[in-house]
Amino acid sequence: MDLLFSGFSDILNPQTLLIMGLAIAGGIVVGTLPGLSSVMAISLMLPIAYAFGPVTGLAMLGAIYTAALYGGANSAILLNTPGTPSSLPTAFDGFPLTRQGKANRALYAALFASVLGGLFGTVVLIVAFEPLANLSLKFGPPEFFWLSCLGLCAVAAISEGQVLRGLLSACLGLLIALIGQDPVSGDVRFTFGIYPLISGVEVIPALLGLFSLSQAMKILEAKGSHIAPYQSEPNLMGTLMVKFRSAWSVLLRSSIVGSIIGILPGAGGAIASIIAYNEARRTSKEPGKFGKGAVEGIIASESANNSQVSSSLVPMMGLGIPGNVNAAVIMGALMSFGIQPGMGLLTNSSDIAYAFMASLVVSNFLLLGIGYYMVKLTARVLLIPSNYLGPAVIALCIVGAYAATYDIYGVWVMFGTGLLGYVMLRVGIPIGPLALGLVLGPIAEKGLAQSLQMAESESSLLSFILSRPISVALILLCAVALFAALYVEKKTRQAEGRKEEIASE
Amino acid sequence: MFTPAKLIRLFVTLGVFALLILLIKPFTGDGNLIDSYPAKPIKFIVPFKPGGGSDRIARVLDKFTEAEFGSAFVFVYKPGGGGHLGLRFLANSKPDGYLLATYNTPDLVLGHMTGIANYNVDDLSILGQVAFDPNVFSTSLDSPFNSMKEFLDEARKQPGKLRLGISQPKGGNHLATLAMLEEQKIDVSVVIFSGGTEMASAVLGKQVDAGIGGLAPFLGSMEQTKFLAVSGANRMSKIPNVPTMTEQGIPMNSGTGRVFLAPAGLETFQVERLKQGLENIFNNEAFQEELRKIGNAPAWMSGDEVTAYLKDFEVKAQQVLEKTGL
Repeated sequence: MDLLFSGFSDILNPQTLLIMGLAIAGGIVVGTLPGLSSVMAISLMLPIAYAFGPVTGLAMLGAIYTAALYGGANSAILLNTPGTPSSLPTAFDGFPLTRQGKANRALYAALFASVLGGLFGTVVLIVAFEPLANLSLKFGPPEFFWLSCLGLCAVAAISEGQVLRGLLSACLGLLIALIGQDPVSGDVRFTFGIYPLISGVEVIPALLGLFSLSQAMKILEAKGSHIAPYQSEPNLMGTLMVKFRSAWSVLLRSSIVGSIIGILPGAGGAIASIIAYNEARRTSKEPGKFGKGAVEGIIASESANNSQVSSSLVPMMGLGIPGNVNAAVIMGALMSFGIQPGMGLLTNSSDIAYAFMASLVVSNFLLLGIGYYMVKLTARVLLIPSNYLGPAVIALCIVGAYAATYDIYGVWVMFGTGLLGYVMLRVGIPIGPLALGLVLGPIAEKGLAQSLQMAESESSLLSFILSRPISVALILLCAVALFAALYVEKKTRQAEGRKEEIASE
Repeated sequence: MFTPAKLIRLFVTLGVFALLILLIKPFTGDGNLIDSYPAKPIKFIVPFKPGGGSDRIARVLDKFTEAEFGSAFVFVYKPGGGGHLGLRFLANSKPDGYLLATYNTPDLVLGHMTGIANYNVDDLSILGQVAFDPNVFSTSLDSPFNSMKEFLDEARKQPGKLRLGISQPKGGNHLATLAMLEEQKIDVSVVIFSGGTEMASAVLGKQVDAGIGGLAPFLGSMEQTKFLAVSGANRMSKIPNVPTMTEQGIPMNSGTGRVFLAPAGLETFQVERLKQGLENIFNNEAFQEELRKIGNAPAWMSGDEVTAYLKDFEVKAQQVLEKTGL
């Protein structure tokens, strides 16, 4: 405890706070702009972090990571363009709210959920990163396979009323995800002789195309002069306060989901926010509202998304095994300062470790303050006439796709998927499931292929899976998620049927 | 739908953006003069995701580049195809002396033999090698095995029952391990991972009975890891008590050489300057110390020596590839 307090006292000085504040503001901008990722921002700032020394440098990197992951919500809500896979579910409810003229409500909900989720994840990190790091090792390839299956179960939820079309879209996504190198044999498949496809259809350019480009084209062809009406709601904070109070269980559950999945190396934020979103819908009293502008959906997605920021650092700090690319870059920075993350961290460099963890707490409070003022600026995007906004979004898509791959090939991927997304929008096939398939497909495939290799040493595949309790639990969760989705579908259909009956009478 | 007026407006606005980008693109001098080279920052391709082993080594090197070359590198990450996507970009780039990359041996030639790479190795020029990291066999601390010999003896008794993790498909250690298993006539269930860190967590979590990969991913969990053997010519300074495979009576020698590359066709003075600069940095004791700290084994080889090593490797690997069908 003393160490944590001295950590705070290392962080709470004007210079460090100023640098962190700038990092937060910059991180929000990077996260908001489609195509620019937290990884890009963190690796760009590495040389500057070195110049500041370990405490301030690491605090700065942590602040960028926190803010960039939150920033993804802004573009998801305002333009229906999730800049990162992890803010995918935020768009499902955020953009409908924007269309209803309630953009402010969605933006503030995302901010508060991000901060609360972020604080939750940070507390988890501080309290128990050593034991949790060891717990994360219990997840092997079979568990990752079932975890991504659980994520894919959300397809049923987000394509409500058109499950068949949703499945079609998801299968298309899984099919596209097969392009590239086989994860375990290393063989090259389905590249049609286009060499850069060896690394698969890159997720960020593909998301830019699917969501941003197709959306920009829709913005341009729409009749209205603006994407959506923008008005300030009276007593918005009061409304949100009530919302958050009644949705506290969603917030808590999503933060727990985000923290747990964040800890697992390689799982990533995308699965966390999708599963949290699906859980929130499953346990909601009015699941029919999800996808049409439910604030609970945003709360679930964003709190899970930001609670995994800190928890993704757990295996890195506890075992020296980075769980995602962000954690890997931060680990690289730690090592450059001569600190070896892992089991000896608290004995050898406890001062810096605690200062870093304290800085993550401070980052979340700074995010609250700075984000609060930046929401007002961000929301002004809606005041830009569509004629200018559409082309600007297209230009950002091109820049983002190029930056994500450092190659013109990324731009072609973006245009290709953009066309696909536009056609799908026109014929009424939901894009969300395709994106889910694309993001989760590779994780599922690798988990399955490695599981099959592992099962070779057992008598049968079935006995191999049944011998792993976490796998069995995840299979049961998948079953619950599927049946719940079917049940909800049936219930809403009945409710609609009743409404129609009343109307016809 | 799109009205003509809207389309015109769209193209005009896009045109304005294109113009703006052209305007802010910095004017670059050619700087191809013997005395002034390098006259501007060198772009440096890491053909992997940020934060990996190659990135860390390059970042260590970069601490010394400003003093040697006048400015630090500009890092560019181009992952994909086990690194060959980034290398292909380098091989096909204009050789102006301002684009370099890092990569590994023996994967540099292996990628071509397994059909993953798609460029001409002769379009690359090797500047030098700064480290050679032997592969290590590892397992979790409470594993019943204390050496690779024990592991292999047990595997011989129960064919196919033990799981052996390999850190990367179609890489140097994959090939060397298959060759060793073939030679020893041992049958284990091989599980392939996508990188050293992923395999390290599988080894620590007992998903596999043993694994082969680099040492660096285990640096944060040394207290929880048991090392069974070093697959190199000599023991490693970080784990001095762990015997080599050869010491245990099993001939096997594999590892990862960390090399730096430029596209072929640079001016002679540029290649000389880069090679000399790299060697100067290597000879700085502080650089070697930093490499050791992040778990690498500093070992200098000139570009020609690396080329000779790879030629030799290629001949041997061809036989193994035919035998194992990798």
